[in-house]
Amino acid sequence: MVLTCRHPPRSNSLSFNLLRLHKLGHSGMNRPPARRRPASFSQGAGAAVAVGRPAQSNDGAGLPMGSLILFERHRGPALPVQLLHGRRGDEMMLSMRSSHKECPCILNAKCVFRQKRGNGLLSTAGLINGRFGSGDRLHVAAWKTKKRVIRTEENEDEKTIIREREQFVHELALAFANGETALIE
Amino acid sequence: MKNAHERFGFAEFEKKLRDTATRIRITADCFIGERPENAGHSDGHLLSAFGTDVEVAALWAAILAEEPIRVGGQDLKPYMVQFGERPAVYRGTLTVPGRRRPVRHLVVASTQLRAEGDQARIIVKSDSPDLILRSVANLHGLPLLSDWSEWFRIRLQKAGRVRPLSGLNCVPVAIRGTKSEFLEWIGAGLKNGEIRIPQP
Repeated sequence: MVLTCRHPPRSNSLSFNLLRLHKLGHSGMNRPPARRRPASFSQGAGAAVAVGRPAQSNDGAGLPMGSLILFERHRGPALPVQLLHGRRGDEMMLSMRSSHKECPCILNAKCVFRQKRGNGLLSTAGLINGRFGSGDRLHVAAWKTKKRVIRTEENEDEKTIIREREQFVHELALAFANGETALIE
Repeated sequence: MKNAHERFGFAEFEKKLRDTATRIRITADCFIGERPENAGHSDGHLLSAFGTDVEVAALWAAILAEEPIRVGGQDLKPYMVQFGERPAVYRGTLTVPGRRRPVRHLVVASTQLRAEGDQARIIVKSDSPDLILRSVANLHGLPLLSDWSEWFRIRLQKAGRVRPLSGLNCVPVAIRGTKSEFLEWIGAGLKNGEIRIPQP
């Protein structure tokens, strides 16, 4: 659920605005979900709805002076950190603004890592490395990431456009007990 | 530890201008570099040295300007080294009780030591089989077990892939070989029964 609210342009401090929400009774921290849903508030799983303008990629990271947008997921106690956290999955944005550095709640942000795809988490944890299998299929596995740069050159009107695209690929090296080896990408 | 200072070497930088010559010499506790060549400067890979703020700042500037530095010490005949392009230079501050001013610590690592350049050459600080195996396995991502360290060292030496380097307070070696080569060795070793995989 997402709560959207407009505030007067007096302060851009998140904690101050949260306090104002409390006073207005709009944050609904200690109330059941049914009671803290005003009719004017929009709903959506992590979606951002801004009042008077379309949602932008930096919503919440750079809080506009005029209209403050707060987001809440109601998974725990509603703190300013959680209001901002997890909406885009990009905590790097938080510390980019000096105004956020001033807010102690944001500095105490809880780091939640969410695996998006692949087996990166498993492999970085070293769980893929080691001995596996039995009998003839007994093998040793070692995982590694590799960086690849795909370079393309295009010639256009005496100009050469060079494009370099970086890719990270997983590489798994296997050595079986019978002497077979394999390299899987 | 008594006489710990006797283990230390030095890193020296000398700059001659028209009518003046500046020489800065700081204490080095660790160094890894290529063996001295007859002519020219050898490549340095790692230097750990400490001195005053001014001395360390001067050496830092000299290294980034790719100036040659003389390194020497116990069991290491002084010779000139260069750390090449874009070496990583780190500086830290050590506060020693009883001393008025803190000691500055400088660590220089070449691109080759950081395995950014030639991937087929690995520099290892010690020639111990365990460290060699671990370094090769980590850098190349090879399926190697710690029990195979002695076999791997013998295999490397038989193939002439281990080259000793110059070192101060360490016995560094350079390992040459590609991932596919090493994987082939592992496969052959398992097939011949030179090494075996214990049951998990």
